[in-house]
Amino acid sequence: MPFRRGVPLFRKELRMWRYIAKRLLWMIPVLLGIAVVIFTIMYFCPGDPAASILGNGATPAALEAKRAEMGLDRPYIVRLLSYLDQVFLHFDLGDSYFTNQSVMSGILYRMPYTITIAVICMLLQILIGTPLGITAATHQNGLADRFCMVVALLGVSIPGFWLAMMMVLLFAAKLNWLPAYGVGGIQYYILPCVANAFAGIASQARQTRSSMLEVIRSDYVVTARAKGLSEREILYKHALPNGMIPIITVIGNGMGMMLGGTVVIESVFSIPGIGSFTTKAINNRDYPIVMGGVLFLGAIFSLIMLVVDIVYAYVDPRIKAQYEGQQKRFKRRRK
Amino acid sequence: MKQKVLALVLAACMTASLVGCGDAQSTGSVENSAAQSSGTVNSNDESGTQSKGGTGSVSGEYTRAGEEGEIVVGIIADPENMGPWAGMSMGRIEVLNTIYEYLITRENGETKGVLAKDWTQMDDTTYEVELYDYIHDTEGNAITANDIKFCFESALATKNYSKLEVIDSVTVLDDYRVEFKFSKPLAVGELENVFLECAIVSQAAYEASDDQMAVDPVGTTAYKVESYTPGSQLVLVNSNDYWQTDDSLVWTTSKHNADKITMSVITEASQHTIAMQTHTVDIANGVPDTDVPKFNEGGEYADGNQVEVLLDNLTYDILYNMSSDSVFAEDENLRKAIAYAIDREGLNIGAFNGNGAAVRDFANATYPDYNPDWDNQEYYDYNVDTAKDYLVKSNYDGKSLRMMYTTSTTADMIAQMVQAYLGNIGVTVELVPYEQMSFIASQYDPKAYDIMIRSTGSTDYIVNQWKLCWYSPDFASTTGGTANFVKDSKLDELMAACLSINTYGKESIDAFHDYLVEKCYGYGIVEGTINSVHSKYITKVALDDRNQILPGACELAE
Repeated sequence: MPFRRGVPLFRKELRMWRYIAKRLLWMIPVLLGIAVVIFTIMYFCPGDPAASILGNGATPAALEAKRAEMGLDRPYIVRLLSYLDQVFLHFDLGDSYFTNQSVMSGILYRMPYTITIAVICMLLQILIGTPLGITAATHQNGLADRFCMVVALLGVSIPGFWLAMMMVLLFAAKLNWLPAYGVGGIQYYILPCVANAFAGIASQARQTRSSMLEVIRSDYVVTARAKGLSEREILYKHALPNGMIPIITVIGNGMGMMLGGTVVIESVFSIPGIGSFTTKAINNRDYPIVMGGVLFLGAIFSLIMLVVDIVYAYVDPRIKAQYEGQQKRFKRRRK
Repeated sequence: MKQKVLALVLAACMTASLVGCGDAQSTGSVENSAAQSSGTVNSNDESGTQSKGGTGSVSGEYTRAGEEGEIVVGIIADPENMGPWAGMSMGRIEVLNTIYEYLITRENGETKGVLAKDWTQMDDTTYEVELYDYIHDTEGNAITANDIKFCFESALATKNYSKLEVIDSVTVLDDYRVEFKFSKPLAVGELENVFLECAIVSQAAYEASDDQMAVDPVGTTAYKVESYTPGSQLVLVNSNDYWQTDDSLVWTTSKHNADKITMSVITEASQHTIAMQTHTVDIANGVPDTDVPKFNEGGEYADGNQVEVLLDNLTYDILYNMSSDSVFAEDENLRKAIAYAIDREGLNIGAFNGNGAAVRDFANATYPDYNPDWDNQEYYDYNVDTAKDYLVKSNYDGKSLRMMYTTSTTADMIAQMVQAYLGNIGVTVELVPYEQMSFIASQYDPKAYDIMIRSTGSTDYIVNQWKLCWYSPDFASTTGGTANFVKDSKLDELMAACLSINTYGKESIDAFHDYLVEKCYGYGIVEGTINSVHSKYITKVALDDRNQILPGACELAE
């Protein structure tokens, strides 16, 4: 039987799985909280979906009948409990007020577009932001450092929608290289993804730089140099793995930002993702779509945070030991 | 030192970019006024009311966005659910007339039968409709009286169509005759509104559909859906099997000049400009007003494109809050002071580059029952001295008045100009912009505003636009009076007379107009415009009565 520090390996893995299961269970109250908050916000938000559906000339009687049919005439608490029951006990996000179509099917149809954009943006953030940060750190106060930091400064300063419009004007309108809107091949994703990822790249570069600067001043890096290791080895084998924790945090948060950012980017580029779906629903006061969209994004974000925490454990054995230790402490406390 | 130089360079870049933005805007506005003053088509052409576009031929080269015979339209919203009786939304309005037909249509202000061959009033509340006996949908299913009954009953069951609420019953008399029984004698235009509210499909096709025709509708127009990518694109093709074989009976809403129609959903307004500029669409309904001059003759994007500016059927009106606690309730002098202080022609020039119209009634002059004599009558003609005289006689105490409106580029401009005009006579106004849904929710709150600017319009008669504000029975449970809390029995009588089929006519319309002018509970200020930007590939633009593009009826260059 394989052992690690005197404990059978499978038991260690089991503890890790228990941790994951516990985190997954914690998602339930988190999502419940999101559902209550978003429902309450939408409840108090001014606007009447019945009036929106029936239009200007609707009589009060017709409006009342429509509100009753949609269940909008019931008290807040009844509607809230009914919604929570529908979502959490029957796994049904309801139907759109306007189209009568299932919110879940609408979200599932649109999800691939949003996830594609978010994943591409994430890759851009990691593949461009991290090397920029490393370069800046290893050339601190040099020309490369200044260049990287100027790029990073621009990235965090420029609003995504403005950058998107400028890129459209240049690459679509002036140069005619890329499509300005719509969906299709990979070329349709270039402008939205670059525009959406720019701020993330900048944050990633800044975080990587500061993290790496801290690590490369550590004693063990000096020791590694004293041992005669090459700079490349020191950087990638010793410094980078130890500087990864804050970088992973930024990546996790970045994924959330990317998902949130798609709300704007999808509208600008007419991409039929969850963001544009939700934005349109907000304007129409199509509450089931808004609540469904936010819940869905909340669930995805919670999962991403869980993945980030798991990655922490694999990157840093100390954190993994902490996770595994939680189980022991919990048992001891119970005794 | 290096840091200072870097900071200086960045500051210079920022300043340059801001200056660049400023330049672009000022250039835009100069082009705007120059181009707009060169004159545009504002009238209906001779071939039909709905065909509001110009009749100019192709001049110069054009670029097609799609194949030959195809028309690519940029639409601002996704139809999402194309089922015949789903809840109404902007996206649906844009595509409905291309997919479905109705019993009737409106052409040149007249009602024409589409599926209905004839209709007759039997008594106060009963009408009989005769159908053509050779109607079929794009799948070949015949449309009979049973289908009409099915459609109206299904539409009623959704509760999505308040205009249908007057229907008491729909009875099949024989294969091609249907009887409609209403719960009350119908008002002016009400029968047409009922007939125009319900899209007609065959029961067989509807029941065969898995999703109530949400994504694969089957209507009776010449077009059937080839593909639909929700949120992105809808492609319709001409089935070449349109049921109406007599061309003289094919009205604008049913025309099918294009072989293929591609509707691209472009949700961002500025992307409509880019789509037209890059010729990825042939016509777009969402080009922002500020970009329109760029497509005019000599404009930046005029190559292969042109613009038609059409008068909208919406009128911007001013309503005073007439609830009992309002400053306007008992103060006719204050109402008139404000009315005389506003230069309506100035608003037209400021907000619509002079292409709109300063109106002389609560509604605009495009309605068939508008009285042209009103154009020569006094209608609070701009006069600062008169305004000041009325203000002196009023009880205005210098308190700031809240002006509520739905925010948009145009409405913001109008509101700011009105604020300036009123400031000119010493009335202080605080602007209270609302987004549309919040506006709808607050408009009947007596504490929400003192003055309201809103735009309303009707697709048929002037009295039906008036009704949207002044018909108190419609607001009995919300305001207890008219839309702006007026409780005036004489106004109610005059409005009722305009709406009743028995008393509707020039006399009742004039009486209402005159009384409203006398009392000044509210008044019209300006009629807006619709900018139709299109490729020269389209030689004539066709719009429906809601001013939506009818791609099938647009005429294309050979």
